[in-house]
Amino acid sequence: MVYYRPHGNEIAVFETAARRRLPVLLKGPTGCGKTRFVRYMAERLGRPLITIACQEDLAAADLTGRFLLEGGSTVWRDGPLTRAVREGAICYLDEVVEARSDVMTVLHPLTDDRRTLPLDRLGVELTAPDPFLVVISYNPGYQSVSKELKESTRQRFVSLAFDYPPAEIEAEIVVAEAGCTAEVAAQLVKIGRGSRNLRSHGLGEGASTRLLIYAGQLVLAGLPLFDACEAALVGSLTDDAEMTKALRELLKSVLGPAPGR
Amino acid sequence: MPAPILTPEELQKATMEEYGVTGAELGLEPEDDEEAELALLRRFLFAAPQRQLTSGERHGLTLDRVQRQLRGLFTMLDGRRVDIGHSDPACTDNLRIYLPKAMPAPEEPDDLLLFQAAGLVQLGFSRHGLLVDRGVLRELYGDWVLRSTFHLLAMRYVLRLWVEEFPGLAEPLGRVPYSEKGGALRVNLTSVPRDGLPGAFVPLYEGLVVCLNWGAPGTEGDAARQAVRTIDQAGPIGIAAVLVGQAQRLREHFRRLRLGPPPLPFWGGIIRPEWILSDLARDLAAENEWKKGNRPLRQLIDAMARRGAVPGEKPPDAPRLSLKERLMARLGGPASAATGPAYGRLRDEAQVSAREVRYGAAEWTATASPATLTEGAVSKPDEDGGRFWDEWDDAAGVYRFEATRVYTPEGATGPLAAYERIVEANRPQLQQIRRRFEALRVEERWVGGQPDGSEVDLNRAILALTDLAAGQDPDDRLFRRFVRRKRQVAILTMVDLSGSTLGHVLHLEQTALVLFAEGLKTLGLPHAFYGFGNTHPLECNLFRLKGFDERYDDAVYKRLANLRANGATRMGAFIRHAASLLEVRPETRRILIVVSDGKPEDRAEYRGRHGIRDTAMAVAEARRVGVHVFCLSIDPEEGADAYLTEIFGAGRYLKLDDVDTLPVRLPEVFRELVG
Repeated sequence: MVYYRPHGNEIAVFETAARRRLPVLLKGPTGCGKTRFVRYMAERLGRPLITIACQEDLAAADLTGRFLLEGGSTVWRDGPLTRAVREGAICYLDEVVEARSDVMTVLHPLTDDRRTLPLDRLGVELTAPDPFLVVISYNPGYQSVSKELKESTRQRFVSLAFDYPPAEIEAEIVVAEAGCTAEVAAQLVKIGRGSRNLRSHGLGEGASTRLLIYAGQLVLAGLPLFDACEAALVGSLTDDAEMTKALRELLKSVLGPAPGR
Repeated sequence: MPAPILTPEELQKATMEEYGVTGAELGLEPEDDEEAELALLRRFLFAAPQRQLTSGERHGLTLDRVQRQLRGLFTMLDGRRVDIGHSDPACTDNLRIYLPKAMPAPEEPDDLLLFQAAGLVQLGFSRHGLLVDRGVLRELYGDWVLRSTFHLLAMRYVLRLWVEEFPGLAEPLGRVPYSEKGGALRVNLTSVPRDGLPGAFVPLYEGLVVCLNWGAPGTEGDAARQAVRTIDQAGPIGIAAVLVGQAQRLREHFRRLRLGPPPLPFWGGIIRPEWILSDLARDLAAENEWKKGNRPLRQLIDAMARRGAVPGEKPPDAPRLSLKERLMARLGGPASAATGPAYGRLRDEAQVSAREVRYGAAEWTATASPATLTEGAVSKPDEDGGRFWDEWDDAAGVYRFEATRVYTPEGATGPLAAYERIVEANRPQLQQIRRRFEALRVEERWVGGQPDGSEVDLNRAILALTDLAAGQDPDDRLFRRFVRRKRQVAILTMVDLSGSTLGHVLHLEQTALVLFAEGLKTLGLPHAFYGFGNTHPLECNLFRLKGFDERYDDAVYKRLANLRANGATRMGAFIRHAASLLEVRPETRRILIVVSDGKPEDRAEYRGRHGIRDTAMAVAEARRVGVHVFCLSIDPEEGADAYLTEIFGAGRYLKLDDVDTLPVRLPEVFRELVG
């Protein structure tokens, strides 16, 4: 079973939405556990999960499918979305605002009461079975004007707002995921939370839980704690020289001076 | 040359003058501790200062070089946004911390550590609420000995808590007392020798200052030792009272020994109760004024009437509202038909009065409309006829018909040298902005499905083959091409010129506009700059600094670099008008950037919810016609995010906590928006 540590009512909300066949929108900062949560829920509900990482070249045809040549004849190959509809899977579109706008158009009939997927090239319209569920995620931080989630899309989803978990729970997650000691995890979480205080005060984002886990894994692999934090937390958060210094000072404040420096 | 030696009384006076308040204003008693003063003078002040810590031109590390780094660190450690100001010695007013502009000469590697340590002490005072209680502050203000003793004990307390929370701080903070600069003892700005410190004081400095020449404190130091022990074991509950209690006990002990105040280590800074008390006193005074009723409002009305009452301008038969009528109007009761505004209820006495006096009460009739508003009634700065805009009344759920009128006069002008000065002073930033904007000049991307191109579009080729195999006519657009085309973006930037921007903010807006304009010149995109401020709902001025069709010339440069602030922020009207200027642009993407320093507010009823909801509606209207509105806010209020989200939507505004970064952030925001 995929590890997921709940820290609110997200499981209950998701289960209810899934039972009522309502699409779900997850929003929250990077690395706070959105994707892990979907994997966990798919396992919990016993449904297959098809994940699509959206990027700017992702078009509707990439989702629905296309004809391919196979030995001189044409063969239809389902795209991931079509496959999810046929299998009654959970289709998870990660960072959906990155995709082209026609992707949203394909999603619309699947996310209202019609729950259908028209396949023009095949001349058919698939009706989604009950277990099929669309889940999308995005990070509502600073976006380009060309990459906003339209109101018409947003209002088709039940939304779950994610944030970084409380300190004790986050330390628990770091221990479980990285395998480091509770003491190390507590120090990593303290650094992580400190860096998040700088969110929009100098840093675009604070350290994600994922980064804290990386640091924990580096420590477990034998790297000194300070070096692990410097590698996983400082460099990944900013290129700004002054903010880098400030983050290093934070490391020193929590961990003490780095040995040999 | 050594600085003049000041008595404690003079020092206090200097401090008060620096902050512009007097003890009498605060209702505080003058210092009466003559005995302590005498002891102080005898013990310390007749000694020549060993080292002048603020030494004029020569200095160590300057704060401006590390200010961002320090602010980042303190914010991360404290969890609240920490602002840093300038003061020597370091201090706090509970809102921000103040650090010296520079460390004493010469520059040493530990200078940064000293800044950190001094900042942590002051931040600790405010973090743990040691300087909040008015009674405590009054006691500290009136007694120099008590203040210094309290300071030393409080310093121990906050340093202990910092180290408990962040154990890594133990080592660097433990180094500070050994530093010559950090461990220097001072009475305010005057250095005093470390040697010869009375034994009664010595235990207070344990962990804060180190001096090899101090002997054993003996029994004289018992009281201080005991106080130190108490504080080292004290918990957070009622800690300010505990500290004062211990300090008072020590004070009596020092009095018996005929000792003055213990000097403070340089890195401990100073406590300035008068800074905090004066803020509290002002708050109290404002609150009392408010409790007295609407007297300030009446004073405002009278003042406005006095200022605007020009003989002949006011019609002789202009009816003046009685107090009862004004109250009825405010409470939503039947307003006088002769004087009710076009959109009915909720008006403000100040506004009525101002209009009556400045424009004639006849305008404010129930039938006020373009037809009844004669051109002569409202004098305009240019020939611009203005344009009426409806205003959204959220409470009533209706638009107020033609409630605002926006003019677009030319902005104020001034010397061309102002522009050149800004360009000269910001040359490095400008180069960076130009270089970054250069990269935005064209849009580069692969375009598939072309009849001709540098590469085969594999997807399309496969589709064509499958079509052929299926007996269908294939599409012959089988190539992909790398295209570079000019961006189709029009951008209008409008900056807040309301009265609140006067001073530093206006100066920053000016710099931001000049840097942005220089960057946009490189880019060659159609763009316009406007400034906004209104003196009346029907006199909203969207000052043209540079129109879309205007070329850069001296007149434009002069307007961009010589902004003038005046009036209020009826933002809904300005956004509607700016959106209408963008709406007619042929470009496919139209962006409106609003730079503002606060809530949409006007003197009249355009406050609170009404202003916010109308502006939110104006933003929604702009979006409906394809104009993207983005706000760059420099509102220092903590709760500003709530109204900014409501007006502009999440992710459609950026709140700058460091207002000084505005000139750099404005071009960056633009780059993010179109990039």
